[in-house]
Amino acid sequence: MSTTTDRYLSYPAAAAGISRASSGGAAWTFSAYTEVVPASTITSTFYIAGLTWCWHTPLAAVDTTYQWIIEIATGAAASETLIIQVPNSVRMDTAVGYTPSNMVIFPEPKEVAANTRISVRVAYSLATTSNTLTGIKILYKMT
Amino acid sequence: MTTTTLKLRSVAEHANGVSLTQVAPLATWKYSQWKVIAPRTNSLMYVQAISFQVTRVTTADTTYEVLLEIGFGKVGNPTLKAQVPYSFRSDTAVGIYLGKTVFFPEPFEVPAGIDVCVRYANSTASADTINGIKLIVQNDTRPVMPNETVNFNNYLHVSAPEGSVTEKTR
Repeated sequence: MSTTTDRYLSYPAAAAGISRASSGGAAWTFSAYTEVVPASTITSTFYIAGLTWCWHTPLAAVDTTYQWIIEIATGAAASETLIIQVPNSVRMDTAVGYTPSNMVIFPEPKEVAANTRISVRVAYSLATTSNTLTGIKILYKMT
Repeated sequence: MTTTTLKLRSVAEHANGVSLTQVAPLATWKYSQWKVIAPRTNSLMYVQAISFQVTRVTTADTTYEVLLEIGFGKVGNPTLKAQVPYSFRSDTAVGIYLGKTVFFPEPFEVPAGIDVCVRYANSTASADTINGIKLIVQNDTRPVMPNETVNFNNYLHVSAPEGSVTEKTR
């Protein structure tokens, strides 16, 4: 970030993040996409620098590894194009405690054209239960 | 970090970090006041990361979200430079609330002679506190720390976590 005009911003900013439920079907079945950034919202070229989210509800079963993949896509509804995959997993021994959020920073921000719609979808390793990720926000860089 | 002279430093270093608290009247996503975290930097530096700890004991099974902001300029009207979203959930109040350090993929430049400020908003209408807010910066000289007095281009600068004062000395 070589100039003093570039900024790191959050979307959404001072508002609740996006929630996305898994499909609840077979293991590793993708959910539908949920919009994070509507089209024509960020009106100049921007660079996705990171993704944050809060772990799912309901709580994970103990001693069971939950593996997730979150996909970030560009494009209109029903025409999304994958640009970023974020793998992650969680495992716990008891439900006591708190669940730290996740902030994954990408080593190189991913360029996205102005006015592009951004959406996310999720899949996870267990079947039968629909789990919801909350607080989903992107960190992006722009001038 | 393009040269071997740049160092990664903490601001503040061996001192408490900045604390931010919401003030009444409380509301969801209401911002705290800005506070200076790096007063009147005495040379160009690059912000690489921000570290903080949220003290909120959340309602069980509710997502608690925070937005930290970094701004340049005087505390009364800084220019927004960076936003850092953060969230967590708890099932019980038992456990350890760890600090969080968020690294930016590319550091952003802070020109010499300006204040760097921070503020936050959260998703609940509560007077929560964020403690231990510090920056990790790249610099080849030691930045000015909160509560220090320095001379800068004939200006005496007195800094404090609540703000700063600068006066011409000659």
